[in-house]
Amino acid sequence: MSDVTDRTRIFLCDDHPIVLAGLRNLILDEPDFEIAGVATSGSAALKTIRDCKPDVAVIDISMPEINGIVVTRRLTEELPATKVMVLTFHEDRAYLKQALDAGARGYVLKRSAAENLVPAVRAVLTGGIYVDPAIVGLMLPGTHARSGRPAAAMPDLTERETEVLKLASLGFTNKEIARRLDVGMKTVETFKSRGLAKLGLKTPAELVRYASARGWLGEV
Amino acid sequence: MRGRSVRFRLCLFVAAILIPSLAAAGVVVVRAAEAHREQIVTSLREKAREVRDTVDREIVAAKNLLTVLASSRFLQNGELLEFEREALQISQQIGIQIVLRDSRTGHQVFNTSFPGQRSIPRGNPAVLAAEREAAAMKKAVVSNVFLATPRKEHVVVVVAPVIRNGAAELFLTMGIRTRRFADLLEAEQVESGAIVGLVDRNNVIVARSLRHEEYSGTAIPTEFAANASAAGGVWTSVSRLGVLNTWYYRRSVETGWFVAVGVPETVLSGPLKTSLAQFAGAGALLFALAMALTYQIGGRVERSLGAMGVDREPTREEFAVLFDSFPVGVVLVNGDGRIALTNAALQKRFGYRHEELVGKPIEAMLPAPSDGPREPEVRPLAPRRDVFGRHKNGDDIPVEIWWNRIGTRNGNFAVATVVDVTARKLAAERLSAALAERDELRRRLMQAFEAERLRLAHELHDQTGQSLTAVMLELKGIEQRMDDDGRGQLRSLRKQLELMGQSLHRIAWELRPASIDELGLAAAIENYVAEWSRTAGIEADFHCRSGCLDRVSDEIRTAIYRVVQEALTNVAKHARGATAVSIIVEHAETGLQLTVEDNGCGFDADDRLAGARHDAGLGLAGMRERLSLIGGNLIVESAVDLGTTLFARIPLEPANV
Repeated sequence: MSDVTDRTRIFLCDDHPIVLAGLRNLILDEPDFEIAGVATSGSAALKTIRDCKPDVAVIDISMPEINGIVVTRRLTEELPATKVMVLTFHEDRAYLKQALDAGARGYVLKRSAAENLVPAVRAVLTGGIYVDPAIVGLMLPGTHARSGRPAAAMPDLTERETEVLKLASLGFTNKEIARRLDVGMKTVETFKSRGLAKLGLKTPAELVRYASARGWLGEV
Repeated sequence: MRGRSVRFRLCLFVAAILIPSLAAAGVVVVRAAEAHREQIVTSLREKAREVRDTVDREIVAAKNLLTVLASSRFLQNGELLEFEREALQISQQIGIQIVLRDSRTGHQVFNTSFPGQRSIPRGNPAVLAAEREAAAMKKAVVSNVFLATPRKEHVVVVVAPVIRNGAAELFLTMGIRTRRFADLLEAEQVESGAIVGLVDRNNVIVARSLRHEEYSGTAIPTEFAANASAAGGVWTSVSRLGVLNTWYYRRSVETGWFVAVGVPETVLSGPLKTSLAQFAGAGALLFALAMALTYQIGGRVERSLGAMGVDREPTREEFAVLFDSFPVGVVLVNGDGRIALTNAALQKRFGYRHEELVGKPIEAMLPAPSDGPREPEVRPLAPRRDVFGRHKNGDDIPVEIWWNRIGTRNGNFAVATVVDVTARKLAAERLSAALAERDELRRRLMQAFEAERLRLAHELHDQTGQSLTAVMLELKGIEQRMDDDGRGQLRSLRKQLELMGQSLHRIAWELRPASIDELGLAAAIENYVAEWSRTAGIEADFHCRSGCLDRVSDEIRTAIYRVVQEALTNVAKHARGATAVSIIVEHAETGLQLTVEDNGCGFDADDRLAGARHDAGLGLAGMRERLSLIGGNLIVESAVDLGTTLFARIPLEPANV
């Protein structure tokens, strides 16, 4: 490849040759961009990228063997200068989150690649993080994303309330708790709701998190 | 057979034997009585003949005497005085009255009762009739009875003609008082109650052995006349006292008289009646006694009969029959744990003969009672299951055993009832095999279903999706070389293709999120929960407290993901008023536990009908099914207004925990 340095060298990796060709054309249409290399698998990408050290690497997530997330994580670790972007079908926040956690600077959906890939590369080159507008909403704090950390001070739970909450956090049913403690179902329900209220917890999931923090649970 | 009818039948049986026997005995008694009567009658007839002969001898003697006198020399020579003297002498010697009468004058020549007198009493008609007869027959005859005038007594006379010169002019007559005959009759030994009577040719009683003075000279009833012509016979009469008498008579050829021996009918039929009465009494008594005894014994038999009609205390044979007819095996074990007794079913099932088993330790065939045969404590009616007996050929036989302890005079024994459960076990095994096969099929079906979804999702992503991307990139390239008009058209075309790509992704995600495999189950669930929360508008909190979710099998991961999907779908559909859902995946004691809890309206889990309705309506059945295929289960806790909690528990192989 040319060693003209003022052009941005872009590496493309996709296991679908047709898509790869399309992307290549898309990049080559930009005069200040050039192709640093292409690969059709994660492992090939890792190998090639180490040699050619591109400015930007555009990686497909869904690939056999080593997927794009893993490749991203490795590249971020090994070549901090290379800005890694993922190109994917997935519109899940899980993928987005994982990709960003792995160090991806850009997240572009394939369905809008024709339109958004070049602007995304440019945005990343300037040091920004690009997330496809179609899914950027997923980055906003989700309705579920409450940390629910309770007050550090131990509220004055009664012994019975503590017992019931401990067992509940371990996944026992109310009936099982009632049998273990030799009390009625209603009593268990009452202790449970009263204990949760005292701790300022709303849901069992919060209780489990709380229990985990208190060390009530034997293991992780 | 009813107890009552046993007694009844027994009585009937005894009566059926007794009545003919008594009847037969009765006939014998009657015959004997009749024979006795016959004997009496024979003796009476005999007596009549004897008496007739006695009377005949008397009369013949008288006739002979008169005949001798009539032919005396004095009479033939007309020396009447001489003859009178001689006749007087004879009359005095033997105490009889002799009269010589001259028929021509009608005068008596002499009368030894009145010596020296020459009376000429009128001849009695009976005497005259006798004289006429004697004259006609030229020999002595006897008259009928008549009342002799001088002394007013009944007499008969024997008349002998004195034949001189061929004619009878003089008649020698000898009177005999009927008393003389009565004395003869009385002298006869007759049956007690029997009467002997002498009747002349005119049916007038000459003499009678009883109450002679009353009857002598009286005529007998006319029936006699009709019967009198026979040489002998029988007739009946009613006496003046109204007694029915039977008479056996003989006719005398010598005199033409009849000798009759009569007895009251009571004497004749007395023995018959007496024996019949005695027999009837004895028979009735015997019958009554027999029936009473039978009734009594019948009651006892009745009491001693069981429902089967055999004695309550079975005989050895009956016991053996019962024992051997048991369809289940029975074995009696003595205090030393050795076999004492077995029944046929047991011998047959275990392939032994009885002799082979007796004395053998029970362990050779069956497991001994758990607490040992010597222990006093056993729990009857609690069968031991899952134990095996040993056939003679060494085969194991699955059995159920009931041990029971019995104490006898010979010590303590244990009785085992042994039921062969081979067939039952086989059926159970077949059933469980069938169920396992069915579960396996359903599991495979589920796997195939999931595999198909996976394949479709992949296809959409990897083929269709990639092609679409390539097309769009191509269009972008073309777009650069077009004029403004053409660019606008291509851009709008690309927009449409973008929307198509979006829906392709949505469909693929819904079929099966690739994230389960690429990012892990927790990430996939988290994403799903967030998506769901956004669309349903219900706060959802997911907490995963298990770090090794991705080490479990694909099948289990898919199942957990699907259960979460189903559970959240249910919350959105049915948990009215729910504002928060909590999803927890964590490690429980034996595996994974997924808890989905909402704060919606809930339902009354104690109401079984409602529970069943919810099971079907809330998609719980589908979740249960899916969980059961991977060995898991589902617990639902709910209360009205307190929300619903689902506990899905999935066992894991130890390596995966």
